[in-house]
Amino acid sequence: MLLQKEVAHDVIAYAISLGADFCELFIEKTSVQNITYNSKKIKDISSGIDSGIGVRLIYGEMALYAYSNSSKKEDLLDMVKKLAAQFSSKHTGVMKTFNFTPLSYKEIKYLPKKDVLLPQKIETFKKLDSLVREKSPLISQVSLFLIQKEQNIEIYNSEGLYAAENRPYIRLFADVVAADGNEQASAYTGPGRRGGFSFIESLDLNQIAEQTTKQALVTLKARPCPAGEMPVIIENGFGGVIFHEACGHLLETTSVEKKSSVFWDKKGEMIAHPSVSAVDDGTNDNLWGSLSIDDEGMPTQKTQLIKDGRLENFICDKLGNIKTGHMRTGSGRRQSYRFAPASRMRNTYIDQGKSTLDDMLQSVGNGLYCASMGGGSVNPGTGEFNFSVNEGYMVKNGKIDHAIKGATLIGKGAEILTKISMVGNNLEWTAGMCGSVSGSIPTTVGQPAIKLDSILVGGQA
Amino acid sequence: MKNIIKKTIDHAMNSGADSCDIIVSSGEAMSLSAQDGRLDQYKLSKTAILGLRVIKNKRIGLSYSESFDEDALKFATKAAIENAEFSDINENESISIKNSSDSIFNDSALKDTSSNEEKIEFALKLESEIKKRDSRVTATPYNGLSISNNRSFYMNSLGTYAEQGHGSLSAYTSALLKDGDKTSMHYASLLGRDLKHLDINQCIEETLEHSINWLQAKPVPSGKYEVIFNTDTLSDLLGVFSNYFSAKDAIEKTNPWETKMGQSVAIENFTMIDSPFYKDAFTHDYIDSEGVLRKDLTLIDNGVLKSFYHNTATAKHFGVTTTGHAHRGAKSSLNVSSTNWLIKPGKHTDSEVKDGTYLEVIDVMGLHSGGDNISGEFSFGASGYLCKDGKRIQPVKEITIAGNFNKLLFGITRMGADLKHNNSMGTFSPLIRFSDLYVAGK
Repeated sequence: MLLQKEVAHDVIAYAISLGADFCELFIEKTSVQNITYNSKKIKDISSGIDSGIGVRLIYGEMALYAYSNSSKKEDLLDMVKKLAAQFSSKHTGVMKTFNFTPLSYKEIKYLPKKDVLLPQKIETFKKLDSLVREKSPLISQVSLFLIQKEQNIEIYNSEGLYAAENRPYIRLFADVVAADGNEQASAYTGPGRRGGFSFIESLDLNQIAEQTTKQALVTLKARPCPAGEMPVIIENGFGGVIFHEACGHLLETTSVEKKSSVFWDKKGEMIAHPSVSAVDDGTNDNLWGSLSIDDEGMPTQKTQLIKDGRLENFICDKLGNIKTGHMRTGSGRRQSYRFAPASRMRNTYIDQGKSTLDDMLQSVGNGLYCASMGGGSVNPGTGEFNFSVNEGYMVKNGKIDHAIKGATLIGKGAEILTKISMVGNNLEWTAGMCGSVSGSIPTTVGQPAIKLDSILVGGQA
Repeated sequence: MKNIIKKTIDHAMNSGADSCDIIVSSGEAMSLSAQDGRLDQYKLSKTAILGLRVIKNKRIGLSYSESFDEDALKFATKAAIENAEFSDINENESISIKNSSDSIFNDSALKDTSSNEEKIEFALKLESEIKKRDSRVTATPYNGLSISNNRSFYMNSLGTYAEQGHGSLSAYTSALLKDGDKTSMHYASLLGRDLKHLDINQCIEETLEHSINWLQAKPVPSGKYEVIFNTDTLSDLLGVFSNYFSAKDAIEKTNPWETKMGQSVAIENFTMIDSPFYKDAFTHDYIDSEGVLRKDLTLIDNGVLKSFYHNTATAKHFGVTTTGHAHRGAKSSLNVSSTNWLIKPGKHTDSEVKDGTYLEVIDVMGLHSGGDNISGEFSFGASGYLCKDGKRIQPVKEITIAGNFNKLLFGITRMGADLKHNNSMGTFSPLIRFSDLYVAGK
């Protein structure tokens, strides 16, 4: 137990006596190990422990939050006192007692943590480095980074909840640079899962080497991308970042409650092409964005966001529920004790369709095929988005033609959903980090290949 | 704090480290946001983190702790020494800075004396004024104020000790406008060290000016355009390609200008300086993360690449002296970083820079994902205005601007004689007109 039940009780009781409608303690202790490798050497190994407590008070629809590294009772009481100082004169409460009932929930499965000593991890790096370099003499640098962390959390709240979860995470980043004369190009992959080193052992290192090297070499020789409106196919896996950024964020109640989302009043309406169904699921075994409970202590669930084009549900946390009336979905998430929770995505994907890549290429005729997407961003108010293409090819007469570089896709979230006219049968997930109001959190994006009838492509030709 | 740091250094040395140093970042912060005429969120924090770097047998080990009790710090020391045992030999990295006296700097510290009530009132006024001035404002999705007071500490096993205070207060707002089926949004912020010196009207006017104009915005036809970035977007663009100035990236072969030292990388009269305590800069940064006292550094002199950013390790590799740009956070390894950027003024008047037709870029999207700092290619979304002879003739959005950083600084056609600064007062540049950037629009 990270914080004694009696201390939690007294702090929460004090907050309620100051008129708060709700009080919650989030206690965290996370151990982290990072290994950095490049130029064929282990550059540094770093380890540490993040530990702290966040206190949240809710008065009506207003959230007050404070955090500290200290777990001393007097420091926690002082935080509550300072938070409530602005508002307690307008509210009166009474001293109550709480019986914390440990929450029982179904744990998601994750790959075994497995204790592995540093030499074995270092051996994996050296093997992957060699595999990449032997693919081509044009490879000028291989940079690898392993992050492994184990987050232990506890939550107490004034509704009598006590919940705890152990969350092991592991992720490998591989960055490859290819150079030919003055031209340079890079490629990157970053597989990650809930779990331990057994995930790294399960990876096909040769396939990672092949995929990143190929992408770097293709980009090195690619031609500038033509600019303009055109039909586009976005491949599976990380291609789902577009749905995540351009639509997923607009379905979070943090956007909906401010009415800044174009979808805030569209529940039950058709917002996408009938071929599109989309899900945000916290319960998938092993996946990077899965949680047994969210950071407010609610068991996670599979949430159907869009079904056959119709908006079914929003992604909702406790405060979102208070402000909008939508049902909580076990989606209250935060990076660490340093952040108040907010409604956030978990594993978000466009669900499986029926089309094959060949069907899509034939229907496109001439256009762009995005084999691998980079990151992007979205203006949450207007839904305008911008995404880069890491590996792309022009499509000519229904066939994949030459490679292009420097392409960007831009559009509006609400419009893009209606422009998806074909959904593939090759659903795949990819790990990523999502940054928003409650910090940077592990999320999975996913989709089968999709075809957009038309989108603006930025480029240099 | 100094005693805790010294005790941890002594413990590391007694545990077998050959040398070590510590960085501590501590701070207090308060933030609040206001929505619909009332306080929406209020946040307080107080944290500290200690980062230890040990060198043992020429190998580096790192650890950090957010707990300052004796057991936690002993655990962190043990972890750093164990980590060093498994790192490869690093011939360049050492702890070598020995200053004769302690260095303590406070002139970037917070000076605010306003009460919480005044801060809340400020945020509420930001929102109410925005809504009052235009009935098409449907929301101010981002509206609030944050204040932070941080202190960083450095000590090494040679006795070098430094402390710096950094504080800031920022207020921000946004306006989401809707007119029929057209929407637009813009965000603006203010930065200072004292609430009473923040100009609330400036923030409101900037937010409304662009969000109102962009309701009528449309893409321009695709093609090549001459472009003037405002200082914020220019600073952001340079930031994406900051690895071009990094000696560490040059060693690791991820700096495309690795072999360009002494060669031409820009037009002849382009000079760019890193200026740690430039007189008008918001932050004066006197000492780097190895305890080296900083000084001005000319990066590009009249178009010729003159220096990379160096710490003592990269300097040893290249056989030069450190430029005082070491950067290490409590949780991270030794690197280099910039301070303030100063681009020297040119000879043209602003009117001459704005002569003829050009695109004025006010806002960019997706810079970090749209910029490839290895190939130099960039392509990102932009909003701004199509201008003629200094007059905005059409609001523009839903376009992309693309180019290659390796060619960008050779494409400068005119540079103004007056310096402008970005919002965070860390980049100072004249108006610069770039030619031949590719725009994708309608």
